[in-house]
Amino acid sequence: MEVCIVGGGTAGWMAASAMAKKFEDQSLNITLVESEDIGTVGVGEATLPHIRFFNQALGINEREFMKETRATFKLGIEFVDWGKIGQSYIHPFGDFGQSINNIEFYQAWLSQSRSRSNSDLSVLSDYAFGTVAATQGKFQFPHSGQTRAQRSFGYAYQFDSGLYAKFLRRFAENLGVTRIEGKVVDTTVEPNSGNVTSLTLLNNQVIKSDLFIDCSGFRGLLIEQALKTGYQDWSSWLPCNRAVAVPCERQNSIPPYTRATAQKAGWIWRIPLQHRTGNGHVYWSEFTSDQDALDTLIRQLDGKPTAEPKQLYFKTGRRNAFWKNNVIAIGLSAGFLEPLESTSIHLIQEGITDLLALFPHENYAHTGGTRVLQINDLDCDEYNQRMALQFERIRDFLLLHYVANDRSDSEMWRYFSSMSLPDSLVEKLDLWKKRAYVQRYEHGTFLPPSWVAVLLGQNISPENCDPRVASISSSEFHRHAEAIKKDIKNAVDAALPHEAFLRKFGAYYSEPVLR
Amino acid sequence: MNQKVQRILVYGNTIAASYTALSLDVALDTNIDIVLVEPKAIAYNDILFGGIAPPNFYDFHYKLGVSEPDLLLKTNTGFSFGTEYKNWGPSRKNWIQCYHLPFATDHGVDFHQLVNRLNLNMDEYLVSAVAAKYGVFAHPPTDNSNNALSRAEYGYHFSTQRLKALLREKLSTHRVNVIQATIVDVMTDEQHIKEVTLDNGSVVDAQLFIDCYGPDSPLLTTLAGEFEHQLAKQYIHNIEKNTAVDAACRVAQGTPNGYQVEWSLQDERHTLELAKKFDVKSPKHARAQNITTGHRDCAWHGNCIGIGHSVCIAEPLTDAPMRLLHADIQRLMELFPIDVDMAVERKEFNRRYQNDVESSLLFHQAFFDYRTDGKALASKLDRKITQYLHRGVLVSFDLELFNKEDWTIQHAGMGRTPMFHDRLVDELDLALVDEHFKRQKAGLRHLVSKMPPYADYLHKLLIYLRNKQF
Repeated sequence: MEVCIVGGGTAGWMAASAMAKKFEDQSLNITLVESEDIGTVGVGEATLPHIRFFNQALGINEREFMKETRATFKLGIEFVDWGKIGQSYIHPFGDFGQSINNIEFYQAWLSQSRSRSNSDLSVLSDYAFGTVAATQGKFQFPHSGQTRAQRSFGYAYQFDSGLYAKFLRRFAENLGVTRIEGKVVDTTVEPNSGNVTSLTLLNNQVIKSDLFIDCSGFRGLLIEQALKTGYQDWSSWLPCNRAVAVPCERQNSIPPYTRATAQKAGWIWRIPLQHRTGNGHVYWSEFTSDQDALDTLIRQLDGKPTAEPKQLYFKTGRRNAFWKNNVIAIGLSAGFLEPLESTSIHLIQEGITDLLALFPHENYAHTGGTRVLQINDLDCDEYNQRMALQFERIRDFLLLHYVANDRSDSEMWRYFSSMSLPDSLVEKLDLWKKRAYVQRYEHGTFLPPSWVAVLLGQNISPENCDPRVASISSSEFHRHAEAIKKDIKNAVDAALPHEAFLRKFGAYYSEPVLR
Repeated sequence: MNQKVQRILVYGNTIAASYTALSLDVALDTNIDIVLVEPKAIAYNDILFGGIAPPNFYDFHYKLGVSEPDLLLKTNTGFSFGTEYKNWGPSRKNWIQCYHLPFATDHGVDFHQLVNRLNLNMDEYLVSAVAAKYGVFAHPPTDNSNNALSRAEYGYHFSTQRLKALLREKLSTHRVNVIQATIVDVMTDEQHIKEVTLDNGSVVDAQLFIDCYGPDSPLLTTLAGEFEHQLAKQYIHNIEKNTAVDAACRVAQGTPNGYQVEWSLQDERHTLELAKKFDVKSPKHARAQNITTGHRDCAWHGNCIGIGHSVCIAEPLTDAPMRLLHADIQRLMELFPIDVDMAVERKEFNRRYQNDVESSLLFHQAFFDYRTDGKALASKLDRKITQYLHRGVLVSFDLELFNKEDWTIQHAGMGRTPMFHDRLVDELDLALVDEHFKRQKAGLRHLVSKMPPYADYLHKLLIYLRNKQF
């Protein structure tokens, strides 16, 4: 089977690598077409812990990967000024505490912390290794933990996505993926099947293929421009529509977490890498100009800018179909959700994982001398259902950050405070406010601890908590909580500072010494 | 501030009522009153729980203070590796729907994909099924993951009457006020129950009423009428003295009008036959009881929650009835209302209830879905079966009562064969994989040959527990 990937950014090379690895011993010829004239967006420099499984499945050495992509470890995201100006919290990868009498720890903590003069209970974040280590700028692997509390966290990476694409390019080319430099100027669609059959490049080279993976970014060269799939516009819920990005010199110490600072008309990201810090301002153009957005970003940089600002335009939403005929859209061509919770690369990964599971079988028809891959509707349908659910659930979680807070100090925040929410989110908020209950689901990226972190972090205090906590005595809870807190503190005290850990692990990049 | 829930009234003389009262007793603070009103009438319909509880009842019981030795010594409970389906459907399929830990991938490919490609009988590679088939039993080791038996899971065969008695015994006498009486009148106000009058003349009020009475569900019926989804059926239940304990496995097989399930306890053997309608002229069928299976749209109306058969009478072809009962109680515990304004909890409870009922119905209906190919994707069941038949894809929805292993075993047992298989299977040296499976099969056979017959194991375990106890 001939497979052609259009676009060579993070999505393109992740897809190429995964397919080349998974189908290493099969007759699959993978070609990736990219043009150096077309830049990549590369907004997703911060990731979720799932990326580790992707790299592991490829057999990538973590140390080498980190060194080459200038990666740092990430224990979570710090949200600044979201609940209220002047406040911050960390959304860690992992749970808070451990359940007590089969009741979630946070429920017991809420109950005790409201009925107390108990200042010794401190804050919920003291009971998550990721948060405590992040605030102290330290890191260790979960598997090094001696106890459950010390192991109950996840980690991800912050890396240079351009370098990640290069790293994967080498990986994929070693597995036989062919890279063609060129700009696509035309596509041919076979009228009976609706399949895209070939691409024409600027140099008139024609590339025929059975299956196309559209990683062409926002424009959706195949999924939209050729196949007219249509787009679901979600900007009424997530109206930020522009971003400006600029890297700056790194700080003295490298925080093992990403930061998202709320602004009057959007928010600013800070992603610390080994060699620089990535920064960007996501904003709603209705309430700030491009120049003001850039000025706001520049004012908040931790160091001197190291490159020219890059302007991005987007519309939040998703394609009506992610897979149509013989085209599968992965990455920004599939849809866009602002990178507030670092989901961009994760959604690429989800798309690739589902594609590999539902990869079409070799079944061809021949129409007018053209070989046409027969796509089974069942595969498309399953893929589209799975991806739609992923997008929708992430959308609700992102929206939560904007609506669950005390802010009304600008037009944007007032817009959010009066907007009508999706029913699915209204239900979740009602349940939380009434009794600190988090509605669970099985298929989705963010589990209950993430919802707890954001809701409590943004001052959405529930009126009540689970009534079963009344059966836990104060002394029983204190013993339980104190043991966890001490356990975490001991492990964090013993952990190395982030940069020292990177160096000791051998993941730290150092410039070659010139002689 | 709304009035807090200070008193709960649980109504029923059923296993659902006993589980519910004990769960509330264990979980809630002692300043909440629990009143259990038990009518004298014995709940014959409890037999429709099917006599089989899935593996998660070990933990459930443990949390309620009911240990496995308690169960074995104080009731006539036995162990269960699952249900064996015999001569099922038009193709007369035979398989053991066993309990099993998640299947491992092999050579990077899902277990079921390899089994399908090599055209193997899945039963022969699942330790619980092999042990059940050979009539042996031993507790799966928890400290040795290299032992193939550690992948097995087991549930229980039980008698509802004896289990109910044990649960009742565990109720705190200081805390739970048990009143043996029948409710003769229900006083309501704006779709809420205010108080009930008992046949002893007393009146009991509460902020929350839990209807565990069974299919007649008098409290819920007062508020919401009868079941919206009903299907009239008949059943016959037989109990015989056990001369010998059979396999640790229930048996289900088709009958001319329906099906029957049989299970063995320590000293009894139960047979339960279900049909749309029995031939009443036949003396064998003279004892047939009428039952309306089905379910309500919502399990929580006003300030009244239904648990167990008061809201859903699932058929006992599978262990769905006990899975649903467990889910009902877990839902109740997680959403126990804070105060008399229960709107938020009620909505979520009903959403989860509907999900659970739908999930159990899907699994049940799939036993009667004999399609061998399909294109339809209209319903959730279509998606599950069509996608499996297409390429072995296991479609799953949020928080289903039956997991992927359950569905995989059922698909294989029903003879559903995917048209395509995982592409990676083609990369494998199938002769080598086949050899690996042969070794696995021989290994399991060897393992079960060393395990004691179930009857012996149970007998010796009971002696040991009795000696230990005294």
